[in-house]
Amino acid sequence: MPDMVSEQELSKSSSNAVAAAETKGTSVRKSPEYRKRKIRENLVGYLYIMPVILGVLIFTAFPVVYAFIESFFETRLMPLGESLGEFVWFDNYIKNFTNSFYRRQFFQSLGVTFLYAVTYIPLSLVLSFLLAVLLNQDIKGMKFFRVLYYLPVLIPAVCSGMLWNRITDPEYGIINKALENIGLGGLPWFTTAASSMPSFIFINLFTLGGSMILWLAQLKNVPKTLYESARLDGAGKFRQLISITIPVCTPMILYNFIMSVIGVMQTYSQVITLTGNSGVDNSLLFYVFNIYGNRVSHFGYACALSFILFGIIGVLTAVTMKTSKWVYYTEEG
Amino acid sequence: MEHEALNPVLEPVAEDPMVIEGRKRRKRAKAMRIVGKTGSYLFLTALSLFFLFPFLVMICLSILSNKEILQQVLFSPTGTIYLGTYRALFSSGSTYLRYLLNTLYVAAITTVGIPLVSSLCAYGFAKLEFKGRDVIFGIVLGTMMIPAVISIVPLYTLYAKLGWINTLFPMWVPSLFGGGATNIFLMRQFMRGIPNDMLKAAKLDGANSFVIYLRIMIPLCLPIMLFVAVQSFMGAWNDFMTPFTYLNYGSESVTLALGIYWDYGPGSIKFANEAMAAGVVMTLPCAVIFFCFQKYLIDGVAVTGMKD
Repeated sequence: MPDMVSEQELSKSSSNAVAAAETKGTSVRKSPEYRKRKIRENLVGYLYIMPVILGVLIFTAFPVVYAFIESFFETRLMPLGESLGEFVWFDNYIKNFTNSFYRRQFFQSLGVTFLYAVTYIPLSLVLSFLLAVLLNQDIKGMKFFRVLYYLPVLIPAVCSGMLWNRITDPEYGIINKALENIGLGGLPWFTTAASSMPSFIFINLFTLGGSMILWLAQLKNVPKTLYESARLDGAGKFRQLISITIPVCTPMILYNFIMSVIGVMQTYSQVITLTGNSGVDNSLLFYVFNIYGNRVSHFGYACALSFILFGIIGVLTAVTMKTSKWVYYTEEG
Repeated sequence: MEHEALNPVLEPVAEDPMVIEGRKRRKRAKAMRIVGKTGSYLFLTALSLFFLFPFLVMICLSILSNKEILQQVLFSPTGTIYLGTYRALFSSGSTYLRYLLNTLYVAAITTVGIPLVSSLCAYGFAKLEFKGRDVIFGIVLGTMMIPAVISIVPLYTLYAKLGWINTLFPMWVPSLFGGGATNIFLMRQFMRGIPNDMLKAAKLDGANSFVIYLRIMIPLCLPIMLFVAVQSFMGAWNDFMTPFTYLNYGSESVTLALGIYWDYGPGSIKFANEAMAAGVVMTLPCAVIFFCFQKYLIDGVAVTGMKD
């Protein structure tokens, strides 16, 4: 131990010497002592980040590369190292457009996923923002309301799936029961294709509290002085919201939007725990359903589908970033 | 009299129509504020009924007896609370108990492991200097953009090779390799806020980098570590896709999320009170933890909010 300490001190003083020497232009950089120290520093650094390097290699890079190779083969899911199956070139990609069976499934799932994305993402962004503005008022009991609104987020996805499965039961469900009692007809919920998607969106509105909390944190970061000077200029509450709050929040909107897109494109567990299948007439056939449905018998095809999804997410993210001129960065940002 | 003499100007001003107008306006504004406040409260209460609805239904149904469930009511007509369903969940030999123990096992490991591992990595990225540090960090961040489904399916083959199918390993081993890009990012952001002078002083006193990590970084990073720990617990507790992908039906290693899906999920013929009781028991730890660590969770979110 004492050895190490002295070495540390030595390296400390030598680094000062290096800095001094470098300004003079002499080549201390090449001295063996300096090099040794540099190597040691590098090794220590890599030691600390070793877990994540291994993690990225084993649990991200390996499966992604493996899936990419598999996407050119017609394989059943099997343990690693056994035969790859038949090499089919780009067939797993192309058959989404040429084979009528795969084409129907592929485009149906794309349609469902995009319909959900373009309705739910803007809806949840706007509503959770309004909620946050509402709960950002300076009146008593706000903390209590915040907790209340956050409660449904705490229900685990699988519990909320089984809960809503029972609540929305057309015959025994609590909502339809109540509607019938007051003389209104029950809602069809997930029993018809047309009402499935609206029902699914409605159910997801209960988790608005999650993004609301993010907004609230962001609203607290808006400098108070901006509001003060706006008030002096005679701007009303609404004007302050439009001209100060929203512009300052735009980086957050962008981040939220991209993360929502990535999340929504992978919707699966919420649906499977709720309905157990892809809905009446595949009305809830989200993209990932096809990946999971094919993963055992058509592993190569499932891999190709995941790479197409990767591409779609990549393009959507890139387009969002490219068109993000509306984002306003403060000096600190 | 003296008073009047002292304040000769005030008296006439009070009768000035402008002042009276001003007072009236202030009164009206106050009345408006009160109306606005009551309106706000009414609206907030109505909304909270909306958000409480799923929670209330779950709890109400869970304390009904089988007979009352068949009557399709939300509250017991006789006003009794039936806890038999809860007792059944925890009776010896119930599968639910095994699900719970499996979940606790996974959650305990990840809740302790992820903050430790991710703080080690974050310390490397935030405070140490070595070649390629920023490039590697960029790659780690980039993995956040890769959809999870792309790796979760092919990893099946790797886990099959390792003999991990139908075991608990896939649920906790991968998370100990770095603890996730988001957590490393959060920790690194937090650590960068810690002044370097402090570390330099410790270095001059002869502390090596690990001592600095142990003695300075960890105590200072406790808030963010707690945040990551809570998030890891919730993540492990709620994780559905991992067991769903790597466990077969009837496996010994089923966790709560998958067990509830199989036993009470879509197509189940079990009574609603049983299902809801199972749900309430699973939700309870999340709710308790949220209430205990509310402040840390909100603060942690504030860090997330600073992302850009």
